[in-house]
Amino acid sequence: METSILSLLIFLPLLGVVGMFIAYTLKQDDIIFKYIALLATSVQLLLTVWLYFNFDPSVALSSNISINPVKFSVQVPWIESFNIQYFVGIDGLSAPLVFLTSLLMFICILASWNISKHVFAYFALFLLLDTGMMGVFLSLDFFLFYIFWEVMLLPMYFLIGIWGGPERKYAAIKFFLYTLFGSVFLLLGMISLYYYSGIESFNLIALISAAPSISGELWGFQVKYLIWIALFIGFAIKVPIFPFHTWLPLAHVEAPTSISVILAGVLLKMGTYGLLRISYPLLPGEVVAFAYTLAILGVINIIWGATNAIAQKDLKKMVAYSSISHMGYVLLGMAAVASTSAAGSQAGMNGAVMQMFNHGVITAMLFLLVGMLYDRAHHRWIVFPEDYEKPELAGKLGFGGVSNKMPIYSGFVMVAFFAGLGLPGLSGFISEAFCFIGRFSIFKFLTVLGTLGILLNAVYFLRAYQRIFWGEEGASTQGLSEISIREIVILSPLLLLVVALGVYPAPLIDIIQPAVQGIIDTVQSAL
Amino acid sequence: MEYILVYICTIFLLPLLSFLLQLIAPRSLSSAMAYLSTALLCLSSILSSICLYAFYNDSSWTFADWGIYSALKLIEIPWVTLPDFHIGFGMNFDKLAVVMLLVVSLISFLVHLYSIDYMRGDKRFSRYFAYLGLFTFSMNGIVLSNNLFFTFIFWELVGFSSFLLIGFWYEKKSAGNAANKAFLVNRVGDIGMFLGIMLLFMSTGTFSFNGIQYADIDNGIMTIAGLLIFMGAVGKSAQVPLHIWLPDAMEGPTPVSALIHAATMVAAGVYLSLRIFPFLTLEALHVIALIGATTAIVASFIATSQYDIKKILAYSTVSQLGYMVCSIGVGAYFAAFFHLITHAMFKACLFLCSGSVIQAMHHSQEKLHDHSKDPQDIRNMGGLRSKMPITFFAMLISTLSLCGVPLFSGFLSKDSIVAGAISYYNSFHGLTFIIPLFIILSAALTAFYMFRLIFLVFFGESREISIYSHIKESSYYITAPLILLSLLSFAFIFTFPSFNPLDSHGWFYSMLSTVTPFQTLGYDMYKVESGIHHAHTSAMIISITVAFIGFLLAYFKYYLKRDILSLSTNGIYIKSKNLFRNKFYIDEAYEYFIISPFLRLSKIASIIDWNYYDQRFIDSWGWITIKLSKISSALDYHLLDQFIVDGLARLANRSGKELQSSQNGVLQSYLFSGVLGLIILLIIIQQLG
Amino acid sequence: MIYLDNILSLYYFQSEILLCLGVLLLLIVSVYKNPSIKSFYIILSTLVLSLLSTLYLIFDQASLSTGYKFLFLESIVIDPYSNFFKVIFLLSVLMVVLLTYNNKEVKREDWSEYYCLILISTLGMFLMSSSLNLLMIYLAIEMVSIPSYMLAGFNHNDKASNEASMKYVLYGSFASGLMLFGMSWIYGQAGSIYLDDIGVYMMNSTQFEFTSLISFILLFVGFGYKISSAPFHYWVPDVYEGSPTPITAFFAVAPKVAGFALLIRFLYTAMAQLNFSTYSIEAIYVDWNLILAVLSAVTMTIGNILAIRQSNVKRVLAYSSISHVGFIMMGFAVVSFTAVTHMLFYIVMYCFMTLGAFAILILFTDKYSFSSVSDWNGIGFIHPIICSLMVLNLLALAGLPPSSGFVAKFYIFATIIQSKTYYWLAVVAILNTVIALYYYFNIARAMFLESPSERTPEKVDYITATVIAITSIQGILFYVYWSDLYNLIQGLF
Repeated sequence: METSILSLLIFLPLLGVVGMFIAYTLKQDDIIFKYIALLATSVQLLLTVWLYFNFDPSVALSSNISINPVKFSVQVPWIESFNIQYFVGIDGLSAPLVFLTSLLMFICILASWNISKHVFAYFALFLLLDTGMMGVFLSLDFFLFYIFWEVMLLPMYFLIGIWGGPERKYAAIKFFLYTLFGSVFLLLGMISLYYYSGIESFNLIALISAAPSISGELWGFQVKYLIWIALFIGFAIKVPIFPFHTWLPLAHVEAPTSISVILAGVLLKMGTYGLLRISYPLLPGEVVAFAYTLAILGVINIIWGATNAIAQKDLKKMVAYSSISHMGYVLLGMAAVASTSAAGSQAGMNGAVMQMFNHGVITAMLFLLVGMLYDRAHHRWIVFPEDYEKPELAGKLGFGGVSNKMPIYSGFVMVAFFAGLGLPGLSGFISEAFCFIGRFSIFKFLTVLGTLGILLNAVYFLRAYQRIFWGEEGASTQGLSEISIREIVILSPLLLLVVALGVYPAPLIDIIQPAVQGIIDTVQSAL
Repeated sequence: MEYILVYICTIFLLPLLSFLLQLIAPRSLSSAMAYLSTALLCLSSILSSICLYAFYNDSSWTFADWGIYSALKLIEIPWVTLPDFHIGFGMNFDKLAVVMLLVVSLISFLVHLYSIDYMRGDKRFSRYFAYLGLFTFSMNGIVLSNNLFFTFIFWELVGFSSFLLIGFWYEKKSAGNAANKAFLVNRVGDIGMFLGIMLLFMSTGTFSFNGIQYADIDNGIMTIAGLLIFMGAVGKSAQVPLHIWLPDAMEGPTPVSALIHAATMVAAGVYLSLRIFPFLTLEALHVIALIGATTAIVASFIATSQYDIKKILAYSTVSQLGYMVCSIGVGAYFAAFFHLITHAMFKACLFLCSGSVIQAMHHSQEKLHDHSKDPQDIRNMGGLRSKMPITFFAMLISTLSLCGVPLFSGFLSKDSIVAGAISYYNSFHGLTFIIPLFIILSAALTAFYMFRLIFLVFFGESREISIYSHIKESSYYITAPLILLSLLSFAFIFTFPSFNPLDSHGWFYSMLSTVTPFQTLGYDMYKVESGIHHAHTSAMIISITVAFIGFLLAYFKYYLKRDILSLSTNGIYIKSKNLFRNKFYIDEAYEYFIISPFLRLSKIASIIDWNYYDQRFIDSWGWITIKLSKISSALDYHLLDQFIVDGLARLANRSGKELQSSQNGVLQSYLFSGVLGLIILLIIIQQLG
Repeated sequence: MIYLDNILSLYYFQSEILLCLGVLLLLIVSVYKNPSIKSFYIILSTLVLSLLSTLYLIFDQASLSTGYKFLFLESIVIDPYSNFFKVIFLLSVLMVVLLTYNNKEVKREDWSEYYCLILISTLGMFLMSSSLNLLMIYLAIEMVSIPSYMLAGFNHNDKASNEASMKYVLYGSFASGLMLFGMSWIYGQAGSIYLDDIGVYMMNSTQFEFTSLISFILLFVGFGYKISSAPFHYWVPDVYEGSPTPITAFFAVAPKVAGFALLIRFLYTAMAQLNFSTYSIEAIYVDWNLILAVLSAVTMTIGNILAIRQSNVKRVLAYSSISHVGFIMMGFAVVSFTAVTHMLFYIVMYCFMTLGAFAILILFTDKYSFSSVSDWNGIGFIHPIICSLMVLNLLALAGLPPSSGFVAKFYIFATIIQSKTYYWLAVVAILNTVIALYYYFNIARAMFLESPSERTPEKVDYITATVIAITSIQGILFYVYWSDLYNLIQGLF
């Protein structure tokens, strides 16, 4: 158990796929696939919960430690000739994200229960995706990390492309090319690290001590710096950071609900996780040098994302842009690592990691809610666009007065929205506040700009809420029915997390704090 | 004192309990639940009065040996703990807090009671009480919190509950707009406050009021930080220029306006300013005084020309808040807090009275099935004195109190503020005369518009006979709070045991004057105190006279219907009247200069982001590649291979037919392409080799 | 090093001899009536036998003890390197032969002739991989080429096929002409046709840089034509499109690999000075690594760019094979044993994934007569398993995980970066990877994302299915574990 649990977490979904394949060859009917997928993910969820309470949070894998076997970590050679290892481990940085992943997977399997088109393929790809995400968060060998990182592209492509909305083909290939463009740079950076570090190894922990010694110039730049840039491009596209963000709205809007949930809830986090797990400890000097740029990008993300969200007429697109804005907070917090004030850097970095988790929960909730509205009304316009197919509706409010039709639903939405705009008492606030405090300790002016985001986020969430849920009942409001028990069951764990962590965040912080501290120490050694 | 701790925690948590109960309660029990919540609040107000009594008795709780922020040693719940970064929730209860607690829970209790009747039959009855509970809880939080971080948290939470209550009747579009407006405008203030908190934290390393007070920091930073935090107060306490949300907030149910938008929440800004007063610098205080005075005068001007009964009261609230803020600015610490308390009482009373009137109007319209008339418009009222005596007397008393007539609590607090303003001028001279000027002028205006209200509503004969005929006094649920509150607006309540109506000395003074912090960055409080003491008599005289003038004007214009100095035909008068009626066009200005440009900007941004940046720029790479492939296939395949090579081959074949030597021709043609390849190679080598 | 006279050589020449016997048998059989099935069994057994004998030679103690056997007066060498390639040739030819079994494009009555030609060119490839002097090289290349010309035009009454064949002939003859010219240059300078003599000469002929450069280029025209590197790739698309699909598959794999085998050997014996004791490269003569680096960049780019706009799947694969050649040639930019190892590794993967893709293409072309990409619409949910295998192959071709193609590409990149030079080549390569993904996934899109056009599902025969399985599954196998293969290739020299 001790040594195999992480591998089990990673490959359990694959077992599920195998099981489904057997069922498929036995010509079983569709429902069985759903049950198998549900079984796999629920077992995974239980394992993660157990793991969350049993792993050793005091260890910081991304710090300059000599890795004597950490609890649960597994390290076996895979390709001796190239010194590639199967090396997985868990610490406070990955644990919350692992938990988040398995929770969202479980929820998404439930949420996509009434998929009827190519059921086998859908759930098989979904589980494959699960494996990829788990692998990314757990692997401590760069090669392994990269492999899992790339594994996710394929299922994502098909999940968006086959089950997506009207623009799905375009969205799918765009997502694929965009992210591939990022990951090939990641590949270059990875191989360069392998050879330049001088130890010819992908072991991330070994590299922490070896990488800073990288020297040499290329095209008049420090090789280190180029590696940082390459890795940064790779991760930035996933986050997505400002100039690379445009795949996100399209992909999120076209993808089916549960895929958007996974996209926004987990995939975006992998970008920042990669930065924290790889770029930060390995290239501390560059991180410090780059912190200011990172901060600027963060502010741009916040402002630009929010400004765009305000103009959106499609609710889902609005939420998509809101995640761009919210990931900006994460960058903000991460930029604080270079802060000279201990309190500042700690607040910032912990805030960033918390925000990764909290935003995962909140945005998942938002997308699920949007999906539920869409299932009922078959559209999700806040305001019908001028060129809507039904001219009599063009320019009118899409909904209105939904609160009276669906009180429980609107209650959920209110919590989600206000968590999104950072209301104290809900989880979004504390992490955002920490990001700001951290960043304020180093870049005063930029933070002042960034705080504009607090206002703008409120603007679009409130406007959307008023237009959809308040006012007189609109045309499409008539047919709406209150959400079912299944949907409440899907939503309530997320709601619980949002409220609980908002009221008392310590359980999360205590887990992540040591790991984050490790990263901070490693990076600040280069100050 | 331990039992006091228990009490305080109970007081703090009871409203939360009521909130949770209301949330989970089934619809069928809603009315019973309403009584339950009222009972809970009653309990908490009883408890808080016990606490108050204890504090009053315990002489050891004086500033000297306990210190004003003593209580934060008592409780500290760790919330977030990082190696070098701690946040904990600590309760900070001193006499200030205890008095505030009593006011909050008392008025909240009365409003609960009042609402049982007022909100009866509303389809979200229990939700309403839930919101009230949430609000009271978070308000208590603000009162008790011992550090800025938690103050901010509860600060936002009161904003949230006020948002919910303003938008309570969300079917009305105006209600929704008002709610959003309130929340967003408050957010603007809160951003400033948050920045201020961060700045203070970065320079002092702590959030607690105590720690900050005793940290010595550069004056400039302190000034900026203080003003930034004060921005929060500007938002919540509806000071110029962020006052625009409060009048719209009247869209909420009237009891809510009484509780949140008159008595407690809007006063939170003042309370916060009192908390941070010790580390406000002189520069900051000047600004604060100016803002306060401006607010007082502007608001009271606007109030003179409104017709909606609640709007008038709202603007009067704004101007009274201006008073308090100004008095903090001039250093009249005690006066500010005193006025905060007295104002809470009589303004709550006024609002509840207006609620009672509105409900009466509404019901009679119900009977007539005629909803053409706005039940809140004072032009539709008149002569209600005889119909609703209790309401009338309650309203009269609280009005007198508001105008600062002797025998009433308002007089005491108000004239000490005026005294403060005058002493402020005495110590600084120069331009600072505008502060007392504004204050005194708005005192006159207050008397004017309040009596205008009284005369138009209760005297004369009604303008809407049909409605008038069905008006009748409200039930006891409503009148009981009115009676109680109007009693609380009498001076002797605060001056007890002394009955001298002109002197504020009494239990309240003796209890509260000791909390005045004497070590502050801004003023030397001893000097301020003495200055106020000297200005006292003159202030008293002035305020009484101006109030009387204001009353007279109203009396002539609205009771005797005399057109004084034929003003109504005077151009300037009409112009200014329009200006006031349109609230100085401030809302329009915001709309025109900030909101609509920004919305336009966001549209443009989205077009840039999607239609241009993504569709044109990003996708252009794909497009370029495809074009490239088209071109290169044209060159590489169609031109070179198909046309030239094969073409030459064909040509050679044809010529070969005649010359019987096709091979040569073909070979030449192929040589061509090969040699081309060679040349390319050689060129490359020349370049690189 | 053992030098064997002609008689002794025959023992080590057994697998080639078996092929010759197979050819003769096929010729004899062809005079019988309905020879088709017989000839199928003949070629099958021939291939299997010669595969066995090759393996036997590999594991034969004598040959293992010293890796090198020089046969026929040093004109041919039997060494692990050549054996390795022989195995690849035999396997891929075997696959092609199996694929032809149920294929209608090659008429059964022509089988004996067809198999005969294939065998002959296989023999030629054997020689290409193992010949040590210019004369043998030339003969071997011709021995591969001339049957290929006929195979290209195998559909006698198909105009495209004939044109393809004609074009192939003319290009080929031209190229070999230039190559011969180059060989004479070298002979003129070095006074020997043996590669290692040439190497020795090159070592002390630094004054004649330019002449040796010219001769190298002229030679390279021949090689480049065989491996279809730019600017000698013109023949590829037409020939691939024109000739029957199984033959296209054959062209796409075997001759190219042979070309690489030859090119690598030539460059590393005649054009560079090795030091086997330290496993390092002492010196290289004309800086061919630079030339080939540039050419590889050009090749992969042209291949990809042109592939984008192709609608015919055969043509897409043709151009993709060109771009893959470019990727393999990246290995030439770095002169080291690791570089060679990684190239060979890539070549193996390339063979498998190309064959896999072609196998499925052959199947569908045969069953549903697909030609353009749009024909593939919605086939994915009619043949889910086969199409998912196709996706796997496409992934491999695009070089993405989870597939062996990624590993291959990874190693090639590693080669470049390890050398800490030629970063520009790496950048060009990664950009090409992104471009390539687009047209490969056009096919994937057609298969799964497009709405299916109604067609009656056809039964898939077992032989084809097996071949598809074998060639595709490796995509995942070598992705999960490739260490041993890598070590094996490393051990070749």
